[in-house]
Amino acid sequence: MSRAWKKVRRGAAPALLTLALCGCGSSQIVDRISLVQTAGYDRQEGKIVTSMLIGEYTEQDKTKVKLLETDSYNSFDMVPLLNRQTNKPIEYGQMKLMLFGKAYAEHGISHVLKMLSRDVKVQNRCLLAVADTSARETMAATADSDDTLFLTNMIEQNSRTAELPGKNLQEVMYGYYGEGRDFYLPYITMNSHRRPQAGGIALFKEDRLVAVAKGAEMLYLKLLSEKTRAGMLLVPLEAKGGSDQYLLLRILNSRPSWTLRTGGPAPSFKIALHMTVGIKSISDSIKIEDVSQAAQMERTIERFIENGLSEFIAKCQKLRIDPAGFGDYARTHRRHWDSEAFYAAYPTMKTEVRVRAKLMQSGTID
Amino acid sequence: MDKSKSDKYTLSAVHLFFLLYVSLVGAGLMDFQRHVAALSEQDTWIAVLAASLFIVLLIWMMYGILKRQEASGAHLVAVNKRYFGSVVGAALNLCFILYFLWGAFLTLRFYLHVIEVWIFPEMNQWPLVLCIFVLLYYTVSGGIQTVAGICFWGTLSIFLFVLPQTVLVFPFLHPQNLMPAIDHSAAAIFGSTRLMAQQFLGCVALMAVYPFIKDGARSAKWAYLAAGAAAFIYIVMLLISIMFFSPQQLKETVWPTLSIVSIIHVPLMQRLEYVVLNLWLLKMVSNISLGLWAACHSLKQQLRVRPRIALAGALALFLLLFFLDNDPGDTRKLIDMYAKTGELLVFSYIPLVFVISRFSAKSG
Repeated sequence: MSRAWKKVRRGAAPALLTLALCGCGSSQIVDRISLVQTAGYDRQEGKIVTSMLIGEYTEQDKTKVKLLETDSYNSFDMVPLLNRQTNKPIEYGQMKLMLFGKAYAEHGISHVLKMLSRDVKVQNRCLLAVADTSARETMAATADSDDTLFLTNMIEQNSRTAELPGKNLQEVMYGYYGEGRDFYLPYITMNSHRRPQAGGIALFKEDRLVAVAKGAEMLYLKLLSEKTRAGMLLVPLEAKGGSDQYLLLRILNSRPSWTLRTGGPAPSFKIALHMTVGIKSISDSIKIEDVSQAAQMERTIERFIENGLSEFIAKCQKLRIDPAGFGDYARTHRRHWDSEAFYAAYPTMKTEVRVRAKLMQSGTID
Repeated sequence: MDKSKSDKYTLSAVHLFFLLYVSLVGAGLMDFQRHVAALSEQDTWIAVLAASLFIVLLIWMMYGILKRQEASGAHLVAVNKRYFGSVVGAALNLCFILYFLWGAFLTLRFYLHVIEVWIFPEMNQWPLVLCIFVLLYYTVSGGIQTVAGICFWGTLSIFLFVLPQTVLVFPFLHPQNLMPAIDHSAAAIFGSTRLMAQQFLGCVALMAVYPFIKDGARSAKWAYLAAGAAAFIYIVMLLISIMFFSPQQLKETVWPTLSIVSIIHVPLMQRLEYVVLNLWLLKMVSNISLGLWAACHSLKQQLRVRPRIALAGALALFLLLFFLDNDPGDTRKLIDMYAKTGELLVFSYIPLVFVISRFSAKSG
């Protein structure tokens, strides 16, 4: 090998490395694009209304929120239609939340789900949620927060500290394709001051919204389906003097364990829930002073949660939806599981719920 | 040709680990779950294990064949000539040369389809192709030592940068998806095993690199280790995919490995799959250059063509094929054909030659 050739070879490596720099060519700077972080679909008078929240980052440390909307007869041309209204190209690679209006969700969201999961620009972590009124209105209500991620952060913080389940695209697609469960999404309502709030859980059958779990049902779904360390529950106590008495429980720790007693044709489940709870606040007239009173209180709490869980399961059976994933449990615990036979028998499925609650002492005064 | 085995042209036995690992784990690591798990779903790990054992058996057979040769004839081309005569042997050698080229081309084509869909949908691919060609020419013309070097990085790129990431997807896994175990018929598991074994078709490259390994006969443990590492990475990726996707979802996901990586989210780096895909280039370059090197080297031994000319010719052929095969559907068909051909050319050929070599060793 000649010396000249060796020199060429030695020079070739750095030369090749510089080629890698070309990769830095396509940059998109945040104040030269319309960065979409929240978008929504609504159905209004037979038309599809799509809207987007776009942040304007023209001044340092300040965000101006702009709401764009357009209507169409299909769910697919959102970006090109909205792009006609913007002065900077729309980029949705950072989209963090897709909202569906209630009316839209009732007609099925599978088109949008497939479109989102096919598009590599859309993150698998993009959250999905349903808005009680319309997605457009809900987004408009957050415009004065100067934060295009207000709803995203609201859902994330609530799912971390409270009962609301945050569901991202991957988790929804898991449920959508899964034969043994139906997916569910956070449900955002508007309060009387026209502020969005976490209002419940939108329950889906296939890809259509069929019911909303509100109040304690949100917690029940969480207790049924996962281990949790968050959540509050208001337990009404038997009133002696006729006045309402309440106990606000904090769930410190809860672990469900399921047993499939008979797989089919008539499935039957036993669900045991072991939980540690603390009393956050309690009506004045009730005193827990000794062990037997504490034990009695534990029984009361257990009965209350057992009833609540059983009623929630019965409601789901009546609607023929399976948000907690009974089907998945049967699929993974019985050989040759047959989804059709299972769901044919689903409304008559028997469940036995047993709750064991342990009361922890809490608070510093009696 | 190898009588003057100087250090310059030989490799220590450790390098065999990287070379063979690269030949076993190819672009299929991005999407094998989808095809392999379609038949036997949660029981597919059995298939991966069975296919890996089959490959271990093939490696043992290849060592059996190579050990019975004289030092100068312990490679693919000479073995074919010895056992099949100069005419049939030459034809077989040409088949293998084309097969190495075919595998290298498919790896490149597959990777560029992924890049096209995942990172640069609107980009003209030619500049990228030319850059990769320059890189390939540089690597392959450097000889077996450069190829072994890039294989070292190709191996590390997955073990260092992709494997540790999988820890971050644990919160999204559904371990119950692995149950119930052994719920599929033997036929379904065999079907999966067959598909899985096709991922390992590159193993025949061992016959081409063998003469360059110092202490060839004693390097077997590194070869088995490479097979073990390949089985390990495939099983880890498979188990994670089965737990990450619901069964139907896995069947509809085109590149499960990349979809899994895309859920990972680290500070400052929201789209990790872009980083992983770029690192994967190292892996792809190592796969392609090993294939190209094996083809060019065998051509030199068979027809005395200078490797540099053969290499330029091969890259020109790639360019032409690139022009012809522009559609992912066509590539899929070519990959299926490659696998079917491989079952004859590799999986049937090695045991056959093993038996022949045994027989003729006794008679001779």
